[in-house]
Amino acid sequence: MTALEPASAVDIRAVSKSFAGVVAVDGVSLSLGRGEFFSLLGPSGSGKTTLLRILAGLDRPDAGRVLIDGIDMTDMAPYRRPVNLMFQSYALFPHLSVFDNVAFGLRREGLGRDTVRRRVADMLDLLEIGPLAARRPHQLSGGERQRVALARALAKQPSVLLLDEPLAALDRQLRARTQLELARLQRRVGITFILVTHDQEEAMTLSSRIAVMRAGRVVQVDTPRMLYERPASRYVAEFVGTANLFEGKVLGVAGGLIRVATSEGDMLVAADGTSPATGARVAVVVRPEKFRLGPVSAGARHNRVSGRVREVAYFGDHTVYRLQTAAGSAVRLARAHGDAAPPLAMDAAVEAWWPPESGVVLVE
Amino acid sequence: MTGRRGLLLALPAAWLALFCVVPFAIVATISLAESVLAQPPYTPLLDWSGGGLPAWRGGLANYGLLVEDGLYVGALASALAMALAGTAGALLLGYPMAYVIAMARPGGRAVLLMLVILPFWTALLIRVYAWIAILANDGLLNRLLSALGLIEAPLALLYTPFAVWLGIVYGYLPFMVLPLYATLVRLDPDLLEAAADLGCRPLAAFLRVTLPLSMPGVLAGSLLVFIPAAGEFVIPDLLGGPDTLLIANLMWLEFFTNRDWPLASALAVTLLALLVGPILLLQRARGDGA
Repeated sequence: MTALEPASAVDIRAVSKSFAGVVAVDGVSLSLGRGEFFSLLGPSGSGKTTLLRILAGLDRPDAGRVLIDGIDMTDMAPYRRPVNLMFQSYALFPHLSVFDNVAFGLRREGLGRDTVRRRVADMLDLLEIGPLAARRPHQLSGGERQRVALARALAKQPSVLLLDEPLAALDRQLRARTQLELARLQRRVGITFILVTHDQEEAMTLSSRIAVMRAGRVVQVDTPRMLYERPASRYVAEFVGTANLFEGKVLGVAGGLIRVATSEGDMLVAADGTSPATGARVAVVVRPEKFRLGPVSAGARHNRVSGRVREVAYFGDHTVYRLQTAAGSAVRLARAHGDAAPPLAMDAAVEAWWPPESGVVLVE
Repeated sequence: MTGRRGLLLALPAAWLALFCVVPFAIVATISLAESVLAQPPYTPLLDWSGGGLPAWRGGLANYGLLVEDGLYVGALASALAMALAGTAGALLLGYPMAYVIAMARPGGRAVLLMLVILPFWTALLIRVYAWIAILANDGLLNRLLSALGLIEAPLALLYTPFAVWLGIVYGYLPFMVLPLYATLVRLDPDLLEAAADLGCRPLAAFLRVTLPLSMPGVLAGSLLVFIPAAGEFVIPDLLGGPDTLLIANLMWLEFFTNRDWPLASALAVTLLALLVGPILLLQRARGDGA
């Protein structure tokens, strides 16, 4: 690292970790900017929690380095790191009051009584749990406990706050509200947040960037929008959001468009700078809401599917239909409500199409 | 449903009444009587000889004697002091043992727990005799120490308060280890990681998290050792000398050598009263903490 290069908040360099011969994290490298809200997204067993524990110092990597604020922390004990972890279980100390839980880390720093009291009070105010200060953890609701855990982890003003599935234990309504609060809190304190979650919606809502993990590896790092609009692999396309995948073979690239032969006929997809070899096996990804209904405009014979409605799922603001095409594919199609178009009936025959720039070609 | 439940409650109640309340009532009754050379060796509490209503012949004279005679007070005090010292010894030795067992892998735990329980398969009497063979002047320990050149003359270990203390710590150690283990094994490992994450070195994490959270186990283990140790008879009888006359040995003397059943009964009632007080206090403290 040269002196000119600005130190990033967190630098993970080729970190690997195995447990009893099973690889949990496999050569992961990531660089996080200051004040970023970064998410590690993946199914259970993808190594995201292990990576978080390596950052906290609770697990030691077998290989690779971890730098925080430009300082190598790989061999540093957890109690020396400028990092705090909010545990999935919250791990509140059951024998201590809310106040003492939040004060716990500050007292270890040897701060004076008054300083500790003031900073704990600030934290309790920030999370709106001031009235709970004297309670014990077992006297709190799940949502209150979550706030105490967050206050305790934030109280030491760490360089990086690590959050392990912080909302998983909350019910759906509370989770949605807490997501918004968490994002607001992060902007307010300006600390780098690293969130581990298996919930793609949560990661999309909160993060400035997301690393999608699979089997110990990072498969794509991008903004939520780019992950959704331009997934780099079939795995990301299917894990983030819903995707229709049309298998096919590349017929050629011409005029900025890739022509792909699929079971649903030929498809034309914006090349977007890529040029897969002719004959390559590819999948065309089309998100459900990219489809437009109605007869295809005259002359255009590509990017069309026709079939019958087999399933209807109503979501309030939109409805998702599953079409069964003549060629046998199942196509999911989403329509926003609020327009004048009447809803599609079960078993109705439907013709739909999508513009070339709405698709993505993934080389197998 | 209620009938079956009533039966379930009646069984332990009957057991307690038959083997705890009734014997205690008998002992308490005898403690109010006077000692006589007769069969049974105490006077009846109710004198029917006058005809009509019986006359009350009981009294607290035996208890007065206990307070007046320094021998009894001393034996009581040394029994409680010995029990306290034994409890402290078992705690200091048992806590690390319980900790290691609780932190071991599940497979190792079973083996280690078995090792703690294994001595129970032999009678306490035999195990205490084994300590005589170890602590005697020509015992294993003294021979080892002189073979190593560490001592010139054998150390007087047997028939001392130290030997009694050692016997009590040894004999009651499992009662300390098991409840401590049960508390420590339930400790959420996340809590220790949280303590480390918040800036605690391992020792600080132990003092601020593990130790306070294991207090129920410390209390339970201490009670399980202290209460029986206060009335311990076999260990001081075999390993102790004339200067370690504990309350249980004194009771035995009064019952079987002096045949003063009322006085011995008064001793028994006094010991029980002294132990019940702290137990109730501790129970209340635990009730508050939970």
